[in-house]
Amino acid sequence: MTLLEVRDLRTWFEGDAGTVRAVDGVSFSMAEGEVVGLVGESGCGKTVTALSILGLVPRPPGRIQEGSSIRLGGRELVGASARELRGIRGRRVGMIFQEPMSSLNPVYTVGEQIGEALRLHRGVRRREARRLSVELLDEVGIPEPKRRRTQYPHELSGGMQQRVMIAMTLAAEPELLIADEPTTALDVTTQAQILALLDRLRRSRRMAMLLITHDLAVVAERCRRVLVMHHGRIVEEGAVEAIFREPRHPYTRRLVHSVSSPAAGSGSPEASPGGEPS
Amino acid sequence: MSRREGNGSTAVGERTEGEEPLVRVQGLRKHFQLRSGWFRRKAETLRAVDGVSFHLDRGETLGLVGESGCGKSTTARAVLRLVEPTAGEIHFDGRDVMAMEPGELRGFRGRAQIVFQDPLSSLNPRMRVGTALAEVLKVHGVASDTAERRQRVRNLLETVELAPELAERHPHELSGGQRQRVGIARALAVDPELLILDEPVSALDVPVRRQILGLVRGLQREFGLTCLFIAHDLSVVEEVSDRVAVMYLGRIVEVAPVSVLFSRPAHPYTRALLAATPRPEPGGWAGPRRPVLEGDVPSSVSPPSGCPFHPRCPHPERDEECRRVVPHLETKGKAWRVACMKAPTSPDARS
Repeated sequence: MTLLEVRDLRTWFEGDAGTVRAVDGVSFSMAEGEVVGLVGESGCGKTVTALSILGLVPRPPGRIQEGSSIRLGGRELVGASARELRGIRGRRVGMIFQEPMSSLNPVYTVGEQIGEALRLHRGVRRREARRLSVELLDEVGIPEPKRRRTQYPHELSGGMQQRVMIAMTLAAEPELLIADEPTTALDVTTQAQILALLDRLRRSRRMAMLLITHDLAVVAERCRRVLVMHHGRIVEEGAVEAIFREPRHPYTRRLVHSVSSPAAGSGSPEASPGGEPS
Repeated sequence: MSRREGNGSTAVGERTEGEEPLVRVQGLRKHFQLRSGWFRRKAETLRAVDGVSFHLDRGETLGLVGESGCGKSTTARAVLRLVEPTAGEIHFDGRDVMAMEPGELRGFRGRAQIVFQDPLSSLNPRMRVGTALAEVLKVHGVASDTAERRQRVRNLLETVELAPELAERHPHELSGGQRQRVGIARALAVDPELLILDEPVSALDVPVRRQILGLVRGLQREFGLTCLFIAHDLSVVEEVSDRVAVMYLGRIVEVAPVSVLFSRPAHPYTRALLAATPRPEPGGWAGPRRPVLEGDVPSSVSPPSGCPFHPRCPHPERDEECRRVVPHLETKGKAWRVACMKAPTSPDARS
């Protein structure tokens, strides 16, 4: 079953220097429970695509153009009322960002913030929210969840903060999770932990996931299907294996070439950086 | 021609007997005093760098990797005495850096330069690129008159593969990759022998990153530069280094020629780092997940007793000894040293 269908999405920004076509004719769809990677360089329109789906494009200066369509479970989101969008944003579609600290409130404890999400999206009572927030913290792999619940975001490491963000997002039991560079700010061992966690959660909760990243290696490891974005457009789409084996678009070729570093061939001492790509 | 072939047949990182390395660092420590608690009466010591020793042979590149907070950047700054080391010895070209007077230190810094992660923070936003570079030449007395300086600036921009017109631009008008090229040009202006690069490509997109790494490799060959290359990304370090040192909680846990480190890592932390680095190979999707290191890096304020890595160590033979005894770097092979009591130390051990 198709969960998300984006058709000819064009999100433009009006500025002093003219119109910036951040997203310019993007179409793709996602099935229920599917993981899709959205890869591209900074400024290619990945994040604006995500914000458009959530109805979070600041207007002005941004504007989703006429003729664009975003359907979630058959329901049209472009042009939906603010009230309708509130029932979708954070509820049916959850999003986690690169910088957990910028999405966590520094003056509330972790438990209060997860509790708020639970009360808002699931309508549970305070006491129940307290119990469920401990459960959620446990589910995202935070040790001593009862104690951590009473801590403030700054008392946690970057990896822990990202886990808290994920717990908050899960509170609403979304059908689609958009993860926008969820591990870019983290160290490799923490990145591996968070990616493994997201993988486990989306399987156990049968959640669809749109994994946005600039790192093709992350996509290769975690997704089956990938969308390559460049200058506001999706220039290539396909199975990860196919894109690596025979990238068609010149940009994809450049991207795949740029990550097929000697690291891929490590193991033999000859795999030294001797041969220069010109 | 590859750099390695150019070096002749000597194995990477191996020192010809009798030749003094350009840089020798022994037992380097940098501790920071923190005050916290009620009226800041509680004093704590943060051991950012806690006994680091390494050398840099002339013309070689040592990669220094580790996760944030492991002390790699502090190590780099301490080598140049941009932060004053708490203890340890630093020798540059046989001279004792710790004993240098301010005047001498300035001369030393003309021979040893550093490139930072964010070039914007080391460029004056109100100065055109050309003026900023000319300023460096003037301060270090490299070129005497304006005309000569202008020519040198052109040459510098050419060296880092930037169009001469960019001299007229301000830093904010440049792309991330161009700025980093200017940062490298600034460091090269004084013809240094030692170039320290502190996460020079971490802020850049992958294709741009490749270009900058290509430039660094070209410069290594062209000028025979000795480099200390710091990064948190192993694949980046692999591309430019002859030898790699891995840091954890202020200490070097393993140092080895690049091919050895990537094919036969001996320290459990090195192995974990390699396993955690995503590889651009499709197919991991349905496969078994690689082992993931549990937990977070402990605080440098209260590091664990014994081996700093023991609380997270997945080594099957981890025991009481690891908890009590601090392991030192022991020779495992040619130019290969490991600080782990459970790693076999026979010279030819293969894992």
